[in-house]
Amino acid sequence: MDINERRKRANIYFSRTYRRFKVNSKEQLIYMFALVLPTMLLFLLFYREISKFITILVSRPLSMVLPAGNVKIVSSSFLPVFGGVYHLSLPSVLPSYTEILINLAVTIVLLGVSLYSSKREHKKTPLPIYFSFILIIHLISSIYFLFARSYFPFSSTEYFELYMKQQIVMWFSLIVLAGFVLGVIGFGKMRRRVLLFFILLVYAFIFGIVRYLAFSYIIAVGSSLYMAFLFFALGPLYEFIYFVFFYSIFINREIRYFGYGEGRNDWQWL
Amino acid sequence: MIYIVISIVLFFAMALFPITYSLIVLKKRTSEELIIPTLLVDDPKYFTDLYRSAFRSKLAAMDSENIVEYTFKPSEKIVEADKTIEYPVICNYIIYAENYDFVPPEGMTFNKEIYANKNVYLVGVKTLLGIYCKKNLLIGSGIDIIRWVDSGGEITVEDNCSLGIITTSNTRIITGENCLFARMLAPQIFLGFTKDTDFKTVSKALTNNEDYVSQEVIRNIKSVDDDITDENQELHKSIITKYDLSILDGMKVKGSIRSHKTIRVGDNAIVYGNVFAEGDIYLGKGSRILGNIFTQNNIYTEENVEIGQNGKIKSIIAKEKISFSRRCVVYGYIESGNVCEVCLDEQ
Amino acid sequence: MVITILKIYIIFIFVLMLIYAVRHAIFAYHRIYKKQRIYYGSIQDSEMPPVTILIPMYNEEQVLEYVLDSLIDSYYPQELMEIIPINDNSTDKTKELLDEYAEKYSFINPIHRQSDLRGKVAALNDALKVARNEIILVFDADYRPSKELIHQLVAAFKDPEAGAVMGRVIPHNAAKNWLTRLLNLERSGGYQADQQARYNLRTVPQYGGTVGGFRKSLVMAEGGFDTRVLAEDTELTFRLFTKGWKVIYANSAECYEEVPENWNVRARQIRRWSRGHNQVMFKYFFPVMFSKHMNAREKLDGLLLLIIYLVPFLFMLGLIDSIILFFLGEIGILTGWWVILFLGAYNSYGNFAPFYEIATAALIDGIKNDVLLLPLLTFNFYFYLWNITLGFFDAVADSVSGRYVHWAKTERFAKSKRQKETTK
Repeated sequence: MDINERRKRANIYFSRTYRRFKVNSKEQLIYMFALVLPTMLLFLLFYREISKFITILVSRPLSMVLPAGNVKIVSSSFLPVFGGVYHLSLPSVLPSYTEILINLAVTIVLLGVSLYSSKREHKKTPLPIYFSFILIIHLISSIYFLFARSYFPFSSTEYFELYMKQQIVMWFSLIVLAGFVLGVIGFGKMRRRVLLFFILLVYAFIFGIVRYLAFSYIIAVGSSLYMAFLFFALGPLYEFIYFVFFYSIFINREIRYFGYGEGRNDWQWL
Repeated sequence: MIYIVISIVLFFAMALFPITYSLIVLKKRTSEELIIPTLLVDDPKYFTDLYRSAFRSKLAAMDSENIVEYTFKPSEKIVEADKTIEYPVICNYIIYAENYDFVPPEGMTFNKEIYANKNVYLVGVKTLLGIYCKKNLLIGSGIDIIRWVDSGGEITVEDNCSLGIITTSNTRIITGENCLFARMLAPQIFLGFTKDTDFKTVSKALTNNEDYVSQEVIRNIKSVDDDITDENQELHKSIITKYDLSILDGMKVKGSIRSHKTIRVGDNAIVYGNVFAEGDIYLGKGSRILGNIFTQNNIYTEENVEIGQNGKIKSIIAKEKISFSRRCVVYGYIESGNVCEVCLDEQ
Repeated sequence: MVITILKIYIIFIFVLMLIYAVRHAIFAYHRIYKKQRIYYGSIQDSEMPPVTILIPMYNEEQVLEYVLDSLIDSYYPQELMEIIPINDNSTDKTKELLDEYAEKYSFINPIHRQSDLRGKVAALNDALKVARNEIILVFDADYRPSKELIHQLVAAFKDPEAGAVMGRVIPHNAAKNWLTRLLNLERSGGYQADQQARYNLRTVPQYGGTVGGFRKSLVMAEGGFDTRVLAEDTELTFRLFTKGWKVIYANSAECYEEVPENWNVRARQIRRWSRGHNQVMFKYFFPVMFSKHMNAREKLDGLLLLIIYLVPFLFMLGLIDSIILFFLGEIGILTGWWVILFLGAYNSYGNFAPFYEIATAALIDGIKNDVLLLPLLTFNFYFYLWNITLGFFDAVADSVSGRYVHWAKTERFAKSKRQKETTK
């Protein structure tokens, strides 16, 4: 009878200092090989079709509000074996000087407010620093367009190509990260982890679609001035936030289960 | 257009929803500070002291029928051994022996604790949850103790016993062979001895019983042999080594030892200081360690090993297993993260 | 050529972030699943050594009673304790309060410094000259040691290779506001997961300078602490490892501390940590790399630990690099902003602990509810990026100018015991 069995028999629970779990290699392998790896493979095999589906889905409402013939669907090369991606093609819209100056002025004012907030002694939070960072990006973009408007390297089509590739890679990374976090390090009931995996994928998919549509509209109706801001400020960080959000709900549940529920007996000592 | 608007709204909603939820949690759910245990959880007597004080409360709280009621768990009954002649074979009561020695019938199982103010003789008992005895305690052959044993006097444990998590005595613990335990604390612990041993003569006197541990360090040696000891086979240094270390038979190290791997202490060798290792520690016949022993792995001893010094408390601690051979003596504390065995393979 | 350099830099940052990601993945996995390496806290020894406890103080009238009363109530025998509170030019009632304690307790011997050379490090150096004992413990003035903490910390020095020992801090004001709750998560991740994993893997657990101790002779061998370095604790960690000693992490030796309750104070604290840590990096980068006493694993983890407060600055350069590449039209998918931001955010949740490392620690500690605040930590990414980068610039300026660093202590929030009694 080893120490874990002795302690369980004696009803002595483990303090937090050295407690841990026993690795369930079988579950880890099942999770990785039956769920994560097939999902990764399927995604690699079908990302082309997925990008086509999303692009078509997004092009329809855009076609209703933009001039006829402006919204096209094109494909570009991507990964050698797995194929290219489909993405939107829209006419590029360069900002007028008026638009640039208005953006510049508003950005400077907002930046000033942010910097002022970040200096205040009371009720300071990390948000002013975050806002300052993203406003600086838009400031740089505004200044760039003010002085080098015609040198801007991205047409709308090229921008959407970059965006779609970024999105594909983000989704793939999420599958890998979710697999690692829930499969390799993951603990708790298998069904909960599998459920969370699918929740994350579904949320990521829907989020990617609505963001794509929102960005497309802003670029089409607005101008290329907003490309940098959208690309840098509203990109991967927000993928992260919802990933961590769902994961934290799962962990909170597991803390209760392992701390006060049936899972209390799963702890090992040393 | 409505789809565009919905998608923009949905985008911001989905992006900000996690933050909003966290902010709601911030307002609605409080934080709980981690409690640092105020009791000495690392203290070997933690459980025994806890249960003893709990018993006193129970004694004070029992009603006229000796029942102790609780709010959140089933009630317990305290049976006074002084007034009881017959017991059920499986006894689910707390036993309290106040004025007389407690000698239960054979074949019993005690699923609750025993508290005794006098001597206790447990012969033929099968299983016992825990026991406190103010005087001397005899644990007969084959008894399985689940939690703890505590005695104000001497504890004698016969062969083939399993002693639960912790065994403590204010004077002495003597065990026979084929015994298992996890932790043990007493000024003198005699492991793997027969009943007729004269314990007064067991502890070997050192011819030169000085407490001398050198702070000067020698590094990365693989053995303590004639090449590095003086003419008295003594090394007056502490050792820190990344290799397996062997101390040859009869050598004396007047310092402490730290190895990143295993340590072998030869027959009749003496280490005056502490012995720390990452790997296994092997103690040869008749070897002595005057300080503490600590390893992240196992400890194996041969016969007649002595750890610590009479009149002082020292510790022998292994994260895994400790295996004692016959006639080993420990002055102080034994702890293993897994199990301690006494003469398990020697029948 | 310039574009190539910019792209190579992005790839370099990507690789660096990936290395840290792998490092923390190993730590998290090891902590939750692998066998733990135990600490020496359960050693029972009737011959415990005498110990000197140093408590640097600058205007600590609000909190000093807590730490002193806690130490007086300790289970460690008073005849084996020497407590030296070091009053460093305080302008409040610190001196008067300490003198009251000294009158009442013979083992409390405060030092009142009036030296021009101020600061925690100089204060410790002065105290070390008069400290009677070899084992030195250091507590910050706002700490509240538990009764068995001293025994737990001192037990480490039974190991002849132990040069220093570090316990674990737990915020006692965790419930105060959202900052303290987030810091509670960070501390949990940092100690329960990170430090314990480093101790398990026998890499480089860090001596934190607040709930810990060291051997006096090892510090005095080089004339005491280096007064030009703000992070004397980090400096001691690497000094010990490069000379063949170890820092022992004691996960069971827990002590309450007060974490900052507002972001300004936190910003100053993190900037100061960054400055101090980077000063140590400049001093020890090559000694760690070429140390005869450290094995490959210790060197690798040691170097990664040394540059940890440099990484946000490198990352900041990476962000700027990405923006430049974007406006030059050279941003490809592999040199994309997302790669480094993703990994950077992933690595920066709790001051370099990824979110799952914090979650693992919260699970082990049983911290429910607060883990739901993890999404809020995302914005800390920029907060830390900015303040740590400022700290790095401070360290560079210190190195170049050779200027002396003035001590800035963290603002206290607790009411003093006397204030609490008056309020009642």
